[in-house]
Amino acid sequence: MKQHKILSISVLMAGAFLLNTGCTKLDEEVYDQVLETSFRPSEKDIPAIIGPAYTIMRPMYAGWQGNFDLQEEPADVIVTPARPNGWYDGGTYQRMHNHEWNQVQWQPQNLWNNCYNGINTVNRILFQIESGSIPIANGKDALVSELKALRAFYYSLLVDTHGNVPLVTDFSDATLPQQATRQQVYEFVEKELLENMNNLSAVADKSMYGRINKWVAKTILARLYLNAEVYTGTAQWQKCIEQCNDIINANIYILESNYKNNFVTANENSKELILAVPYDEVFATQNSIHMKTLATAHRNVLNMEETVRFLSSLIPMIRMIHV
Amino acid sequence: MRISYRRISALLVFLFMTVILAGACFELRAQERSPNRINGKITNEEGLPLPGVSVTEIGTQNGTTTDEKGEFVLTLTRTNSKIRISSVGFASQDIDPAGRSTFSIQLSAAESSLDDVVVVGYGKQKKGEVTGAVANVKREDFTQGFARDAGQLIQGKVAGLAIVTPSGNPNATTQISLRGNSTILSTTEPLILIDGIPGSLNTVAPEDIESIDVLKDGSAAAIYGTRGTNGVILITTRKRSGKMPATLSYDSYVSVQNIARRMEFLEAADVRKLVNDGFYPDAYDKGTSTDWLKEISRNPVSHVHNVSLQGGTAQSNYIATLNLRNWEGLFNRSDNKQFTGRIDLNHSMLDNRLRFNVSLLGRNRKYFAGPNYDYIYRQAIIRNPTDSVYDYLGRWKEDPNAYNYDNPVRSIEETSGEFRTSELRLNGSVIFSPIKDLNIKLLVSNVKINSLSGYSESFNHRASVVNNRTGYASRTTSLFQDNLLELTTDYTKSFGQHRVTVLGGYSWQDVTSEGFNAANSNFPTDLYTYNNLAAGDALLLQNNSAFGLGSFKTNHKLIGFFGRVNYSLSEKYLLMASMRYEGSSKFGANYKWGTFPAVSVGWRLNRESFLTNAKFLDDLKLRAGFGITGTVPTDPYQSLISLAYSNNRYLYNGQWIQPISPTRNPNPDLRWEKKEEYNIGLDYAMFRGRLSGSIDFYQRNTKDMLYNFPVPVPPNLFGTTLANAGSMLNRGVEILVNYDFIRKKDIDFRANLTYSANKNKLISISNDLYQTTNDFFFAGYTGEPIQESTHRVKVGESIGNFWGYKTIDVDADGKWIIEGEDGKPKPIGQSTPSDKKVLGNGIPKHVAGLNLYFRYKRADIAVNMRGAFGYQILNFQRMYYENPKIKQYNMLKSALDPVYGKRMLDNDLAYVSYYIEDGDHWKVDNVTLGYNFDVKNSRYFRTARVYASALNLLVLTGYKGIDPEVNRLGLDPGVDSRDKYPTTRTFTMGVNIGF
Repeated sequence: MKQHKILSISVLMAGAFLLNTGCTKLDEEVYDQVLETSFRPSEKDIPAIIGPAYTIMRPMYAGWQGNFDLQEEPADVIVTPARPNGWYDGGTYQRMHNHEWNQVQWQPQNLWNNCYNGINTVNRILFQIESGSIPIANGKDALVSELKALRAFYYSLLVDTHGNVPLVTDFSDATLPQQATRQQVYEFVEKELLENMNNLSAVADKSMYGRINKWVAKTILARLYLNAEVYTGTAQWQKCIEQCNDIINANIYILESNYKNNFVTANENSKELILAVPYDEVFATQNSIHMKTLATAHRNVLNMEETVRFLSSLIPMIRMIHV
Repeated sequence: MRISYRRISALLVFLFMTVILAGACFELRAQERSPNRINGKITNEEGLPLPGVSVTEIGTQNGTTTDEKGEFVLTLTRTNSKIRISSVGFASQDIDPAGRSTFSIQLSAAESSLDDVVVVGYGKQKKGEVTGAVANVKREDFTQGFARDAGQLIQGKVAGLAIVTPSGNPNATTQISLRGNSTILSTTEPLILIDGIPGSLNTVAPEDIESIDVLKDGSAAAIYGTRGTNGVILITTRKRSGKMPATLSYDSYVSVQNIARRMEFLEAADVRKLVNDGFYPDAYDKGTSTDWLKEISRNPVSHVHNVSLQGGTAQSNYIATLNLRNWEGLFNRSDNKQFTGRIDLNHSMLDNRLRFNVSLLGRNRKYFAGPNYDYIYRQAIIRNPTDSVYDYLGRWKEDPNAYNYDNPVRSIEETSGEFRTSELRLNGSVIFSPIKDLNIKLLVSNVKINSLSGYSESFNHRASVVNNRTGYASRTTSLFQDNLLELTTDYTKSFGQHRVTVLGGYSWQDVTSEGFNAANSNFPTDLYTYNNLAAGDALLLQNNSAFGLGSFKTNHKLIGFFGRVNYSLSEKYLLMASMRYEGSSKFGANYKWGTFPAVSVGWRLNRESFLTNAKFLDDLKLRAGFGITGTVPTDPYQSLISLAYSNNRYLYNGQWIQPISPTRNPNPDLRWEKKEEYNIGLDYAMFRGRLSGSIDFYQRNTKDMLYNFPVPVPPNLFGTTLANAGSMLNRGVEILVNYDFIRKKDIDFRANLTYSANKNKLISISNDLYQTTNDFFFAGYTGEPIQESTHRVKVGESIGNFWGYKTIDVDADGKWIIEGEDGKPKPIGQSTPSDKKVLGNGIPKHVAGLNLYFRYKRADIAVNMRGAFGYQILNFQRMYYENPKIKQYNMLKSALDPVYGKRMLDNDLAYVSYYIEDGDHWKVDNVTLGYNFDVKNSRYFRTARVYASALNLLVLTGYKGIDPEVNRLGLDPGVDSRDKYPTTRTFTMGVNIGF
C-alpha cells in the first residue's frame, strides 16, 4: 500500500507541476521583429511612420515593370527588343508595344498594387493619427493634409490608367470596397486637393524635397484638369490654366536656363523640378531601367557594379515625375 | 474559456495516467498457491540468458517474466495448462509442461515477420498486432554500399515512400515524399525521429542504424499531431540489451564516382565545322580546344570507416561508435567530411525496475563552401569549347560582353570557403517500473547545432574585377537549439482473452534558432581570405554594396498531451485509439490548441474458426484506420502584426531615414492544416512466411490548407494573407510483396516488390472568408531569360501540371506553331494566354521498386531496382540549349537537328511543350556482390565480409536529360533544372569485419 501512496502522490505532484508552470504556455517569444503591441511611437517617429507612404513611388515609377514601362512601352519613346541574353520574357514587351496586353500583364497590375499600397498606407497612418496612437502636438493639420494630398496623387494616377477604381479612405473598414465611377474618382481627387490645399506647406526647399507641398498639389490638379475631358467628358481648360498660373506666379519654380541641370546626379537644387522621386545608389535603389537600356559591357565603360543597382547619373529623367 | 479547456484536458490526461497506475496496483495482490510449480531458464540462440521474457499460463491472467539470469518461476493455476513464452523480437513458443517442472528453452529470433518488432509512436509493437499502415526495414535489408544518408538505405523498399536523389552534390540529402503531395505551402518533409528525438536523415551515420520504421497513415501518425501529416520516419540506432561479450566491428568502404550521363554539347571540332559552314561567325572559333566539363571535374574517391564497440553485463551495457566519412564530389574541390561519435549506455537496477539510458552523439561536418556548383556546371556546359581557360599571358580568359557567362574554372579556384558545423545531441531517459508491465518514462534531450562558415573571393575573382573591388569576404554563424522533454506512462494488462495497453504522455519542445553574419570587401590583400574581416574598407567607406551585417533570432514551442489505448481480444480483434492535444506558438491567438484523434482496428482472419483449416496461412489481417494529423506553418510569428524598419530609405529633410511599416496582414485565425486520412489494409503471410506482404488503400483529405491567399488591396495592407482555406484530396494504393523463392541451407533467393500509385486533386483554394478571384495560380519559374511560370495549380486538377503552349509544328521560318485554344494550328507570335494548355504532370502516377537477393553458400548478390511511370519532365537543358538561334552560348548537338523532321528552329527561347518529355524510367540502382568468409574456426573474427557495389548503375528510359529522377516535391515537380549538380554513378568496395 505504501508503494501505491507514493505513486499517487508523485503523479499528483507531476500533474500540479505541469498545470501550474510554463509547461502549457505557448506565447510567442519575439526577438528580431517589432510587434505592433510593443511599439510606442513618439513625435520623433513621425518621419519613419510616414516614410512608407512615399517610398512606394520608387518601385511605382522606375521599378521592374513599373509605371515608366506602363507609360512608355506602348508609346513611341522606347521599345524593349528581345536580345541574345533575353528580354523576350514570354512576349510581355511585345504585347505592350502592340497594344495587345491581356489580363495577366504585370505593368498595369503593378501600378494598381503600388498605388493602393500607397493609399492603404496613407489610410493607415491617418487612422493612427486620428485614433491618437501617434501623438502629435503641433502641425497635425498640415501633416493630415499632406497625406490626403498624397493619397489624391495616387488616385490621380489610377483615374488616368484604370478609371473606375474603388475609393478607399477608411483603414478600419475591412469590407470589400465598392467600385466608384471614373467621374466619382475625378471628383474625389479634385475635392481632396482643393480642401487640403491651404494647409500644405508653401516652401520648396530641402525639407519638402520629394514630398507634397502646395505647388505639387496644384500641379496634380492642373494635370487632372488638363485631362478632365477624357475622365468626365467635360473639359476644364480654364481651371487648368488657373492652377498653372498660381504656380508660375509664385516665382518659386523656373525653367532652368541650362536644361541639363535637371538631369545631373544631384538634381535636388534644380528649380524646375516640382515633385521628385529620390533614388540613391546605396539607400534607395529599385531603379531598374539601366537593366533594360544598357548592354552588359556598358558596365565596364561606366564603372558600374554588376549588381542590380541604380547609378543615378545614367537615367536622370526618372528623378522627377513629369507632371 | 480556452485556458480552462486546456487545463481540463491536461487534467483528463493525468487522471487517465492515474487510473493506469491505480489499475496496475491491483496486480500486487497475492498469488494463488498451487502445487504446479514450474521453473526454467530462457536463452537466445547463442545461449545467452534472456531477461524480461514473458511467461504466461495460456487462458489465464497468470504470468511472470524472467530475471536477469533468464530464469523464471511460475506456479500454474490449472492442471492441464500450457505456457506461452514470448519476448519482443523473438518468436513466441507455446509449451505443454506435460508433467515436467524444469525447462530449458531457447528462443530464436523472430523468423516470421509477424513477431518482428515494429517501432510505433512512443513504443513498440509486434508486427502482427499493428493496426496502422506501418513499414519496417531492418538493417539486414538495407541497401549496401555508398549511402549518403538514412534515406538511401530504404530506397525502393517502402511502398508509397518515394525516395529520390535529385542531386549529385556530396552535401545533398535524399528527397522523401510519402503518399503524394498533400499541401500547397507547408513542408512536405516527414517528421524524422532518431530514437524518439527530432533530427534529420543524415544525423546518424547509416552504418549506425539498426532499423527504420515508417508510420504512413494518419491513424499511426496522429500521435505526433501537428507534425504527423507527411508521415513519421523512426530511425532506431544500434542498441544493446542484455549480457554480451565485448565485440568490435569495423565497416569500411571506398567509392569512386563518375557523372551519370554527359549531355552532348558541341565540341571544338563541331564548332570549327560550323564556322566553316557559316553557321557561326569566324570570330567564334577562339583557336583552342577545351573540354570544360573535364576542366571542372575529377574522379572523386570517397571513403567511410565505421568502428563500433559494444558489450555489457545483464545490468549495464554499452555501444560506442566512431564514424568517419570523407567524400569527394564530382566537381573540383567539392567535398563533405563528417566525423560522428555516438555512445549509448544502458543500466538497469532494482531488479530491472529502474532503467537508465544515456546517449550522446557528436557530429562534426565540414565542406568546401565555395562557389555555387550548380551555376558553375551551367557555365561549363555553355562555354565555347574553342575557348581556353587561360589567355596567352596565363590570365583567366573571360568575355566582357557576355551576360551570365563566367569562366567556370576561375569561380572554383579564386574562392576560399569552409562550412563547419557541429552537432551535439545529449539525451537521457529513465524508466521506472514500480510493478510489472508499468513503465513511467522521462526523456530529456538537448540538440545543439552550431555552424560557422567563411567565404572569400580573391582579387582575381571575376566578381572582384567586374565590381571594381579588391576582394570580398564573409562569415556566418548560427546556433540551433532544440530542447525536448517527454513524460510517458504505459501499462499493459491481460485478463482472460483481453489485453490492454494504455499510454499517456506529455511532450514539451522548445526550438530556438539564431545567427549572425558579416561581410566586407576592398581588402588590402586577399591573403587574409575570410579571416580578417575588419581589414576591408567597404564597411567603413560604404562605397559599394559588398558589405553587410545581419543577425536574427527566432523561437517556437510545441506542447502536446497524448494518450493511446491498444486493446486485443483473443489476439483476434485489435483496436487502437489515440489522441493528441497539441498547441504551437506559431498558431494564431484564436487557435493555439488542436485535437488530433485516431482510431484503427484489425481483424486477424486466420485465427477465425472458418480459416483454421487453411494451414498455409500464417497470417491474414484486415486493418482499417482513421486519423487526423496537422502541419504547422513553416515560419513562426506569421499570425502577428509585426512592424519592421526597412533599409528601403525615405529621404526626409536631406536625411535617408529608415521607415517603419507592417510586414504582413495579421491573421489571428492562423492554425494547422488538417489532414484526415482513411486507410484500409490487408497484411498477409503464408506458406510459412514464404509469401508475405501488405496492400493498403488510402484517402487523404487535407482541409484548412495553408495558402498565401490573394486578398483585395484595399482593404488589406498586402495583397496576400497566410490563411487556412482550401482542400486537397489524395487517393492511392500501396502494395508490398515479399517472396522467398528458395530457402535452403546453401541457397537463398528472395524478392521484394513494392508498388504505389497516387492520385492527387486540388479541391478548393477558398473558404467563406478567403475567396480567390481565379481558381488557379501559377507556380515554378523558368528563370532568366525566359522568365515564365512553368506550372499551373488549379482547382479540380492535380498538383504538378505543366502549363504552357503546346507546340505541334514549325513554320517555313523555323518559328513554333502551337495548338490554339480552338485546337487549330496557330503561329506562336499570335498566341494569347488562353491558348495555354496542360502539357503534362511532373508527379509519377506509378512508382515501383524491385529488390532481389540471391545467396549461394557464402556468396551473395543483391540487386535494387526502382522505377517511376506516368509523368513528364521539363528538360531545362534542352529548353535553353537546344535552340540554334542562341549562338553566344554553346548548344546541344541536337540543336542543329530539324524540328518535327522539317527544319532547324529559328525562334526566341520559349517555354513550350517541345521540351517536356516523358520521364518513365526503370533504374537498376544498386547491385552488390558480397562474400562472407568462413570464420567458424577463427580465434579473432566473428564475421568477415567483403563486397563490391555499384550505385545508380543503369537507367532504362527514353528521357534525354542526365537523370529522370528529378525533384518531385512542391508545386513545380518534374523540373530538371538547368543548374543542377549532376547525379553520379558510384562504384564501391567495402568490408565488414566483426572481432
